[in-house]
Amino acid sequence: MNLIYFTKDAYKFLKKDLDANKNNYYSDDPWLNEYFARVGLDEYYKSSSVVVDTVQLVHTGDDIETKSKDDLLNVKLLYSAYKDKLMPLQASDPLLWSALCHITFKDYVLKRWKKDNGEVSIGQRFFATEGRGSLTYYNAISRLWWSGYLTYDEDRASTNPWHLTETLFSAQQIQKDLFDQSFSMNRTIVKGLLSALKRVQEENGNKCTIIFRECCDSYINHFGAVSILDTLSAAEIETIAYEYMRKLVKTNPIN
Amino acid sequence: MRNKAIEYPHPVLNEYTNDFMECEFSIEVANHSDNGNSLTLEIKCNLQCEGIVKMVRDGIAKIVLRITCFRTSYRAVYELKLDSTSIVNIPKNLVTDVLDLQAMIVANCDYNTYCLSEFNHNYFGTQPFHLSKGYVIANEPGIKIKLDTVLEKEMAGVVLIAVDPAISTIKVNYATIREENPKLTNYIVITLPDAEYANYAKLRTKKHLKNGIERFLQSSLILPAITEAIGKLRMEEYLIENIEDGENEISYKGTIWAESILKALRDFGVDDLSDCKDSNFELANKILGNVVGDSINNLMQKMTDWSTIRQEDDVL
Repeated sequence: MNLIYFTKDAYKFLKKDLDANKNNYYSDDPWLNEYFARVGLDEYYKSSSVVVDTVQLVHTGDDIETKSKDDLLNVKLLYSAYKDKLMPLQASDPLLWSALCHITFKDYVLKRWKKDNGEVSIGQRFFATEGRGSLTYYNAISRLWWSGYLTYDEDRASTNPWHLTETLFSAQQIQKDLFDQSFSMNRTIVKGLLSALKRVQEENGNKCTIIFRECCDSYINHFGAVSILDTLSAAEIETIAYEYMRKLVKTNPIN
Repeated sequence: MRNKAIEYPHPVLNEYTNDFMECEFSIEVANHSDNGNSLTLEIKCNLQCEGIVKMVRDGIAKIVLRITCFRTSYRAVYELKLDSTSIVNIPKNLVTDVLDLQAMIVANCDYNTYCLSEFNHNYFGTQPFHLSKGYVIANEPGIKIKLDTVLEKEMAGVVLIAVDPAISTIKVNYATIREENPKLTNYIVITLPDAEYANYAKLRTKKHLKNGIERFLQSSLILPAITEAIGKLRMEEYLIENIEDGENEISYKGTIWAESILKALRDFGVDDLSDCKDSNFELANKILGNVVGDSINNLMQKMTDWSTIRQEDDVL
């Protein structure tokens, strides 16, 4: 299929009328054609020249563990299909992801991001913006591609290139805590941190989300203020992060 | 992003602190250009501090440039030369909008006796400091570069110039929506042989050559390409109107180059190519902002600058 993207006008209209259209998002009936005809827009999306395999995203349950397992599988499915076709320049376009959420993957978005009250944060999950936060962890579909892009390990293409992605989705909080930091734009740093987390998780038998957050939020940030992390190798960063987290575990065993 | 004043645990040379006496570190973007598939930056360093210069020459420290594009999550580090201009190439498909450039001098290894004569001895005396690998030794305020690498390109930007050493004559490809080669999707790609591309790159980038010549280059390469592109779009419109669905195999509409040209034509009031009486050449010249006029004038200016011919005296 050709990847689609909204026109700028279509995106603006949808954003503006989000509240008025809220119930439409939950309806099984297609509503976009009628809506755009009403607002006077003949063409609301375009097909790009990027052709990708059709992807069926999975949703098998609503508990946290199942969501994490499904997210991992969906990252593998989507990123594998789009990997050699989409570059970061194109993947930073909110019009692309917003269109995919509204049209191609609408059912998945509704099922995956349904809260306890049955509602979905439509503004966050169906729409993307140019901000990193939106692209890497809020928008329902772009977060899958960007998680794949930032963690897929080409060096292990023949064995397990997803080993870092598996650690990323071992708990839901890890993705947000890591991608909240600007240093996570550097894949070498991401590799070092996730490798360190994996070691600590294996030694402690739990997800270690709290110490990972503290490591990213305060220690690595402060370390990065006096030292340029980008000049260090993944192994060096892994050592720094691992030693810090291990010290935290010793002083505060319950994490 | 401008470096803010940070309290470091060791002396750092920058514009905010007085850790060093009569020293300076800065960079200059001598040139930045957009060629084919990469952005090219020419960076020059200015370091006035003999102590740090020696550390760099001895391999204890190195000068690095961190380039960040927040929009595309691009963050990479390039090593810079001390004594000459460094060329940094960034693939265009990895960045957009704005690039943040920040140059720093960092420790290349652990170093236990960081003590320079240039330190402000009122602060530090003769105290040596420990540096871990990666520690900042000097930094500068940072520079932002705004790019016009956007998904819908301005006219000259829908034509990319590439090189192929294996060819001996120029080749042109007009991407269709079915294009599968990722190097050719979405744009018009003119591929030049080695020698021509080398000269083209020099004409685009070398200071002593490039001023006043860009329009002439556009006239030579971009104008013919856009003229032919408009011809193809006219043909596609004709086929769409006159051939039954499914039989038309040409499909340019939907590519960035086709959509950008059609939009530019609409801005000039040309909504339907089949109805327009202007020739392809006239339309191309119009949407390129009268590149013919500019290039003739630029050429005249260049020839006048270079030649010794004086205008004939009207009196004679």
